[in-house]
Amino acid sequence: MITDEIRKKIQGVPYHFPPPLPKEERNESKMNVLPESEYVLIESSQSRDSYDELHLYDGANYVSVPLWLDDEYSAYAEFFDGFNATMILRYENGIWSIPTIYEEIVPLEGFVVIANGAQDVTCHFKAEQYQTPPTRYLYEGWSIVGSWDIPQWSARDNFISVVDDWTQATGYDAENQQYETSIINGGSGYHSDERVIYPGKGYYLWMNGPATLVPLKGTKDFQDLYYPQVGVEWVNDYTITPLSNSDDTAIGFYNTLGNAGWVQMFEKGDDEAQTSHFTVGEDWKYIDGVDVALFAGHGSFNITAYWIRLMEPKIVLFPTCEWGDHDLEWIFLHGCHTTKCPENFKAWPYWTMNGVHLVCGFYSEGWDVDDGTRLANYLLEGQTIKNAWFNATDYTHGSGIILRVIGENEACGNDHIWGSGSVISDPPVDANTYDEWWHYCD
Amino acid sequence: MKKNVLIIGFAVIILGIIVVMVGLTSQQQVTEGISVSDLPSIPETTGASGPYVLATTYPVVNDTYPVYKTIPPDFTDERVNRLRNLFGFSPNAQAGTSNEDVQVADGSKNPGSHLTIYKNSGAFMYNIPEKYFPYSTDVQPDLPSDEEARAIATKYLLERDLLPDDVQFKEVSIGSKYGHKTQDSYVLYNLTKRVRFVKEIQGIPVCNAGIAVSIGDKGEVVMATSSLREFYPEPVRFVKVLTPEQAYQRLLSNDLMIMPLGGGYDEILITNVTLGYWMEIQTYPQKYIMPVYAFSCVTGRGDETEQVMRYVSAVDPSEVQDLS
Repeated sequence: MITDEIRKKIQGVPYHFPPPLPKEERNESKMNVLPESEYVLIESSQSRDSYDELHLYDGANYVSVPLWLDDEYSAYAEFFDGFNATMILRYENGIWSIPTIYEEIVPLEGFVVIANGAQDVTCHFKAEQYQTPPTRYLYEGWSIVGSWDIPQWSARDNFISVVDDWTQATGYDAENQQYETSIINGGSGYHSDERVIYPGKGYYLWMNGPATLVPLKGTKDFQDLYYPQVGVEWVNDYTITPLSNSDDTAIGFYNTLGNAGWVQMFEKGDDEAQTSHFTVGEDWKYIDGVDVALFAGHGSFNITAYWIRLMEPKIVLFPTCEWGDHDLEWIFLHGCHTTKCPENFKAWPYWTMNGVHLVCGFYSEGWDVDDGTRLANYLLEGQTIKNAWFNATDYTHGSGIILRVIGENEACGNDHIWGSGSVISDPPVDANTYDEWWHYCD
Repeated sequence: MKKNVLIIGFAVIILGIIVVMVGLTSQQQVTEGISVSDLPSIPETTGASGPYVLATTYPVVNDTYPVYKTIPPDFTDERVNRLRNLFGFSPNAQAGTSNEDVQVADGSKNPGSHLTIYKNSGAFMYNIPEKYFPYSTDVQPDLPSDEEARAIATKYLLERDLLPDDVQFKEVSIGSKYGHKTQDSYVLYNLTKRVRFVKEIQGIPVCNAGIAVSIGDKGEVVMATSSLREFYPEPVRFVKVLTPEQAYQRLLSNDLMIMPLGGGYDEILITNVTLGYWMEIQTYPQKYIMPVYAFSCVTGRGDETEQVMRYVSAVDPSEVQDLS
């Protein structure tokens, strides 16, 4: 017999009905079973024709702005000037409210517009240099959220900073005035968290506990100290020369910093580790979207270049990377020969060191051992970045192994991770200079 | 006959791998703005299992060798205090313990010093972090000659009763460096020298552990460590060891004590093969000390050469399955 309790779970996750709009009546009998939208895929794409225009339909529209609005157009009254609407509603911590005309519309916050007929609203965004990533505190229960920036990311990527807390995201098909099929954290099929969160739309997001939503894109020089972010990639499952400890090193590092309050942005292992996560184009969503990153796996080289090996045939050539122009301050490359040739880091066509303070790696071979938790602990204890790398790796590596840290300048050598000591301002990038520290293990 | 079949079979496998890799190369991910022709192909991703070339003779070894049982590591307060006293720590120095180690930090002096005792091995390291780990400078530190460094290290260890009779001097090398590169210059400063000592068990060297001392500016000792494990002198029993030829085959199949994190070598020249006793990484537990084959290799990239080591167990697991 199918009980109500079973009916109200999707893929093992308790289903939550979106809160009714003010004065909206609920048919309680319908709340004992999952709505029809959960049995067929109902999903609408962007509710706008272009990035700077919101297209609204007659009735309820769940919307958001993906970027900061220009100061002259950021208040509700200015944004909806001349617009024919019955009501505009916000929802936070279980309470509906009507914003004042002076309140600012901000990214990550979704709201409901009850429109009288289809209309278009123009978004006047600030210039790119003023588009610093926002953050938002989310209470337990429902919130209405939006995504940050123009690119379309999956729900999994969008909500990765609150991955332990969100369970369900539900959009709204404004054209047909119906809820969309829920996206479930870790779900599959119709409910897959690989489904896209469309910029400009608003989504109900259910939180099992309070947490801070931080966009996937980095928060360079904006809130690093308050929302320091960590990301790791690792590979064990090589076809040729598989490894055993890359996952331990990466996940140990990731979780130790995460348990200390760092925002865990991504942990990609084996075939999830992608070249594009490291290279120009998409690195700002991954390696260059966090403050500290770590890769554990093989390094390799030929007569012309050095690179990181991902699962065959994927590789990451250093001159295809540009780290630090977005957010990355420090990266640990736990693989052979990863810092043997710093000339590779400022070569044609891209500079691997393009704002990143330190690249920590091996001049020689390294060993397939677990160094991640220890490294993170040393960082949290207040050791400098380079000393923590030398100390943690020396712990497991013996004679013949040489570690090398490359810094943009000398002062970078005194950097600590955010919250554990001093950090220099982002250094100017010089095409021809670097500083380096070598440590021979024993 | 069997050997020829084996060689032909091996060659066919290698050829197959090359064909597959050439195919895979054409599928490399390409970053926007860079054409495929800009990217080097994936060459020797066969890595450590690939191009070994034997350029030495095999050692003559006995059929059997003794196995020794380790003494449970000592990290009692008594030993910690003895080491604290040896390295001149203040009685007020702060001590802490984790799953892996006991750590003592002495901030009473400037710069402070640090002592770590590893719980799974009993190994220890004393150092002055500010001077032991590489730092920035624009002046070449006043380092002793190699002979002077050896004398300083030996005296330092003897004064503290840390140099047993079966531990011998091995080499003096660089311990840390700092470099600064500009458009017009590249300056590299040697910051410390490392003096290494190696232990022998019945004339057979211990691999992956030893005693070392680092010496910095004006001959100051900035680090002393021993990664040697204590063991009972009476062997548990003798075990049959693999022949060097069998060990070489294990090397070719990548059956190593520690896997390196890389590859890409066109050629790895094996210049020496010796039998040794294996002591695990100091963070790992170890009950028995057993024979291992050490392959000393020279490899490199272009004109650069690099020394690498490969270690292969000299004992088949079936020989020691009763040792738990």
